[in-house]
Amino acid sequence: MSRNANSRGKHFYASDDSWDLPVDTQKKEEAGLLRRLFAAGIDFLVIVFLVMGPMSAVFQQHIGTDMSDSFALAEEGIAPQITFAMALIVVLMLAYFVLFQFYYGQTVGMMALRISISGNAGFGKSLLRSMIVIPAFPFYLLWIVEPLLLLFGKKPLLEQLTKTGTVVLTKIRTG
Amino acid sequence: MKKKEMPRMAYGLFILAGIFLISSCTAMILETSSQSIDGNVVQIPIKGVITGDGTGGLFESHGAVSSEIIKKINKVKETKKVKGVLFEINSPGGSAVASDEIAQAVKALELPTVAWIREVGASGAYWIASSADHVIANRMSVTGSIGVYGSYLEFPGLLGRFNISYNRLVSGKYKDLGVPYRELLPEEEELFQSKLDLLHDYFIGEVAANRGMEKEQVRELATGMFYLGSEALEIGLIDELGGKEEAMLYLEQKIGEKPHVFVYETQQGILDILANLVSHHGFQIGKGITSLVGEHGSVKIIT
Repeated sequence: MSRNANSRGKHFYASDDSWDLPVDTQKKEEAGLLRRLFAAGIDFLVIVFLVMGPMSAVFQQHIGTDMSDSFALAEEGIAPQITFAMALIVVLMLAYFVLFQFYYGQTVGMMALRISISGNAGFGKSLLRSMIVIPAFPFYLLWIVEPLLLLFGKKPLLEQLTKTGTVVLTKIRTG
Repeated sequence: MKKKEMPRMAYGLFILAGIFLISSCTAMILETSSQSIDGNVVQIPIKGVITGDGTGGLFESHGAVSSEIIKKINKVKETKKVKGVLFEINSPGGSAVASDEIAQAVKALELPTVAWIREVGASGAYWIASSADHVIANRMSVTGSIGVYGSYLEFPGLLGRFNISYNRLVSGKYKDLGVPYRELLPEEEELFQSKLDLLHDYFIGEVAANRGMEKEQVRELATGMFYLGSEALEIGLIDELGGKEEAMLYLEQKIGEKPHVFVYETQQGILDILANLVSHHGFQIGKGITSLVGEHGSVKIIT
C-alpha cells in the first residue's frame, strides 16, 4: 500500500505506485453535517490555542466583571483597543482558514476528520468559503443557514457560490 | 516520511507559528498602562521620591511622578462609578513643585479621600497626605518633617588643592548662585535662605489650611522634625491610627456602600518599556554631550 498525491496535495490511496487514478473518481462522498461540525470544533480549538489564548489577557485587563463596563469602556476611551483586538482575532481566524484551505485544501480539523475541499479552491474561493467565521452581520446568519441546508440534504450556500464541495477522503484497497 | 512532505508540513507549521506570534506580540503591545477601573474605591499608590519627570530605569519603578499621579486622579474624576479614593503613601517627599501639584489635584477631587501613610509619609508626601479628607497612619509611621532644604556640597578648597580654578563669567550677579565650585557669599546665603523661607511658608500655609489648624500652630511644628504616627495624632497632623482596614471603614461610612477596591498601579507595557529605552538612551547621550560641554552644579529644592 502506498500513498500518492496530486499537485494540490490531496491524497488518495492505491495498491501500488503505478496507479494514478483521477482524483474525482476517488472523492464522491460529500461530507455530512456531523463530520463538518467536528472538524469545525477542532479548528475552533486550534484558534483558541493560537489566538484567543494570548489575546485573553488583553480582554481581562480591559473588561471588568460587570457587563455594564462595556459602556464604561466607551466612556473611558478603552474601546479602541478592544475593537482592535477583536478585529485582529477575526483577521487571524480568516488567515488560518484561508491559507490552509488554499494550500492544503484542508484545515487542521478537516485533516483530522479526513475531509477535504473538492474542486479548484483558489485564494478568492478559499476566502469566500471562510466568510462564515466572521462574527458580524450578515455573515453570522450563515451559522444558521449552512447547517440547515446540510440538514435538508442541500449544498451549503458558500459552496454553491464558490462551486466547490467538501468531500470525505476515501481509502481504496485493491489486491 | 518522504522528504517532499517535509516542506509541505513546514508550510502549515509556519502558518500556525506565524498566527501565534502575531497574536502574542499584539497582546503584549495592547497590554499597556491603560486600564479600566473596576471598583467603587480606587487605591492610588504614591511610593518613592516625588518628582515631576520620573527619570528611572527601564523596568524598575521610578518613584512618584506627579504627572502620572495627576493623570490617574483625572481618570478617577471621569469614572462615574468611583465613589472614593485611597492614597497609599510611602514616600520620603521630594520636589516641592511636584508635591504641590499632586496636593492640589487631591484637593480638587470632589470625592471622599483618605491618605493612608505606610512606613514613611514625610515632607512633600505629608503635604499630599494633608490634602486628603482623612489621614491614617501606623503608630510607627514616620511623618511630619515639614520643612524645605536646598543643601549642596561645595568644593572650592578641593579644587584649589589640585590647582583648579573656577573662572566666573556671568551676566546677572546671582546667575551662578549655588554653583559648588566657589564659596557661597554671605549675601547669597541670605538670599538663598529667604527663598527657602518663602517655600517653607507656602508649605506651612497649605498644611494649616488642609488640617484646619492655625498657621502659627503649624509653624511651631514645622521645624523639619519628623514625628511618629502616635505623636502626629496627638499634635493633630493625622486623624487616626490604623491601616487599610480603618481606611476602608472610613470610606464605607462616607460612600454609603461596601468598598470594592481597585488598585491603580502603573503597568508597563512593551511600548512603555521601548519608550523608556529610547528616552533612557537619549538621556544618557545628552548627559554625555553636556558633560563634554560643561555644566553648572545646580541646587535642588527638596521638601
